[in-house]
Amino acid sequence: MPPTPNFSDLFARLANARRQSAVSAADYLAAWQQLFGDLASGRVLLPDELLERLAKSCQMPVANVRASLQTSFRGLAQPIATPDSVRHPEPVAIIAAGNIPGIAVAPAVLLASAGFPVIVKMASSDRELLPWLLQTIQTALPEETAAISAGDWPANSDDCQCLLQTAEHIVAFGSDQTITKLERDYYGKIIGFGHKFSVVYADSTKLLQQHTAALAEDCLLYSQQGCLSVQAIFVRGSLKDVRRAAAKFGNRLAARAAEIGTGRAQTARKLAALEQFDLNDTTYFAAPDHRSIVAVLERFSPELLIGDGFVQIIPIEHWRQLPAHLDKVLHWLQGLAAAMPDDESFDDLLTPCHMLGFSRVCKPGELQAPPLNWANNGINLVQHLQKR
Amino acid sequence: MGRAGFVSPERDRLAAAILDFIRQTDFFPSDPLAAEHRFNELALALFRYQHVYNLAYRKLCDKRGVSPDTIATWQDIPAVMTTSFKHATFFCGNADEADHVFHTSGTTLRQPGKHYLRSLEHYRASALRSFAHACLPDVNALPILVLGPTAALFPHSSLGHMFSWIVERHGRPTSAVCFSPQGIDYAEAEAWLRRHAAGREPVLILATSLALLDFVERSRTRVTLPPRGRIVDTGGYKGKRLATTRSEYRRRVAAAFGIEPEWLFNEYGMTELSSQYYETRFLDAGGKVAPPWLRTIACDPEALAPLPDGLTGVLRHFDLANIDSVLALQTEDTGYVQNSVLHLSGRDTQAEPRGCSLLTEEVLRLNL
Repeated sequence: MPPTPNFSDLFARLANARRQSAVSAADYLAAWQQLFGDLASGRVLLPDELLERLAKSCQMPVANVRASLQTSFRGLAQPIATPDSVRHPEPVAIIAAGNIPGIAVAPAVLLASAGFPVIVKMASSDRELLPWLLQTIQTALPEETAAISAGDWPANSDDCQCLLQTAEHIVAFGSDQTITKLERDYYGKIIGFGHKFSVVYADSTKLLQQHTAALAEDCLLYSQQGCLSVQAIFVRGSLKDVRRAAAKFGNRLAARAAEIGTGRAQTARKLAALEQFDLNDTTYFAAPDHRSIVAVLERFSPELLIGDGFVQIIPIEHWRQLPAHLDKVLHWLQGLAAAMPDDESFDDLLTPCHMLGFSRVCKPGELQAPPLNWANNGINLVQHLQKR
Repeated sequence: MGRAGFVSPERDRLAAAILDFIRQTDFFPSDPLAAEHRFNELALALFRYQHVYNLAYRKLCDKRGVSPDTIATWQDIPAVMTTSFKHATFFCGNADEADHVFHTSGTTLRQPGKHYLRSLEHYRASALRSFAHACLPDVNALPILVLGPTAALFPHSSLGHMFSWIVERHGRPTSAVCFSPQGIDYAEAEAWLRRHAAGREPVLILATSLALLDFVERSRTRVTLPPRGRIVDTGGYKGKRLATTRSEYRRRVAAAFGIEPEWLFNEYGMTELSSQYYETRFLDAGGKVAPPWLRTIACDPEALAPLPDGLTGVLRHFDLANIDSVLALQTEDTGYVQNSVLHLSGRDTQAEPRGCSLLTEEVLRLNL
């Protein structure tokens, strides 16, 4: 058995490499964003074998993983202000979750750009993407200047515990149960990101129809397993109009699901839901292979947060009714895509949405492409770690 | 209790035939083909009855285009998802005619399902005969300690009724129930164990897996049960305080009670079923064994089509003792069936708290 890595030394080495490097924070960020842009545009391609292994371990079709990562890279390539360099950067460990690939990339790069030495404990289902990115960025950044290291130490191993004990801060992605356990075991160190999901508000059925392609993307990327995946669409309109729009959206979702696929892990739950709909005479639109299902419900149902292409559409009279529908799951809200009429501004929606707990409010099609400095869960990571 | 409603003579004849099957059929029939034929006959007749009188079930069958006239074997009987018991009343007749309603465990976000029974006769007969065969073939009466629900204290718990029936049928007068809505009575349970550990008569502990683990973790008492002392657990144990494997769980529990791990038996059942699987040293099957009136097939998780023996899928049960609800149930549990022995697999199904262990978890949480 190999000896436990000396994480103190590794953190120190990563911090020194960044500090002593001639690469400024702005250039460091630019190098990464160039790579993200190249990946989004297809100038640089992820190896097929890597994608295939990633898709298999994450239980998603290859085409879905490819499309999802491209969208994420597009978001990460958006220009952002260079974070202020931190005077006394403390070691940060990032625990990646296995629900979607690449989840640790943005926080790792953002924190490293500010000077933090970062070690990522990768998820067992996503062991190759970050190492590949770190290897690829070496053409632009000298070795270790990236200030990020990654390993796949098992969750309960001595190595992992040693890493988490050595780190001053732990950015953790995972289930609510995992986060709770970590907060108990590493009290005061955890910045946790647990279970979250996203929704859409469409001001009218017409707008819903105008944005069907973009909304299908928001729903299906990462097989609806990510925190920015849309699970429910709230539509302002009569039940009759909403049903008509849902039928159109169901067709679009099915067509896109046929192109990029969805995971199959939730099929039994989907079929159980369809049985429920048959019993209740609920209107739904299902693809023949059940890869996508759109159901028109009177109320939002937390029990039907299923994923893998399962979307609830709920008619409402006004966006002010959102809190009443979502009151049991406020702690899980992450993103909201809003299709508002041109003569209205987001400002009407922004403040109430942030107060409700949404940390990303944007236009349809943009949900899954947050910028590198997106304040996930409302937390500006660099500032947050500086203040602790 | 339910009010008397119209009960068809057909129902009474069928119920009597199935009760006879439950009481009389050999666990190892000398003529397996004849037993299979009889099971098929009864299952199809029961489906015909349920298709007529169970309106929610009829609705689903109609949507799928299946009727008694379109199928030939019990494997073709349309199954209802266990989750659908949360959303509809699956009962042959009006729900207020039900004598008992058992509730599945609910959570803040998930409503409980309800299993309506016109009478407890078949459930009781099934539970007692299976239990005696699997767990008590060598002894008829013994002192029993219950660390789980009982009928009087948990009237909507199907397991609670089963535990109570077992105590009534097999328990010595010194048997004790040390579990209530207030939680485990540790002092009383410890005193009971010390008293009976000193004796020579074998004892039985009936428990939900989570209650058993909780007791092992919190009690300082370490006893050695008398020879042939045994424990039957059910429901999964992965709670908030400890995550562990089934083998580690067995080792810990066996050590705490001074028994060999092979004397820790496991029951697999669910509120929506009236019959149970057991894995015990007496059955010695290397997996879980059903009584002759309960059959299971594994199904492809995507199309829900039956799979051949030995292939892993989601489990579909056919329980003749479910007279007035639905005999064919589709679960989300995964496993495979080989030579009529059920092997749970996929996620650590035996570790995830299910049904009664969720009830136990709720009781323990409220009383921490």
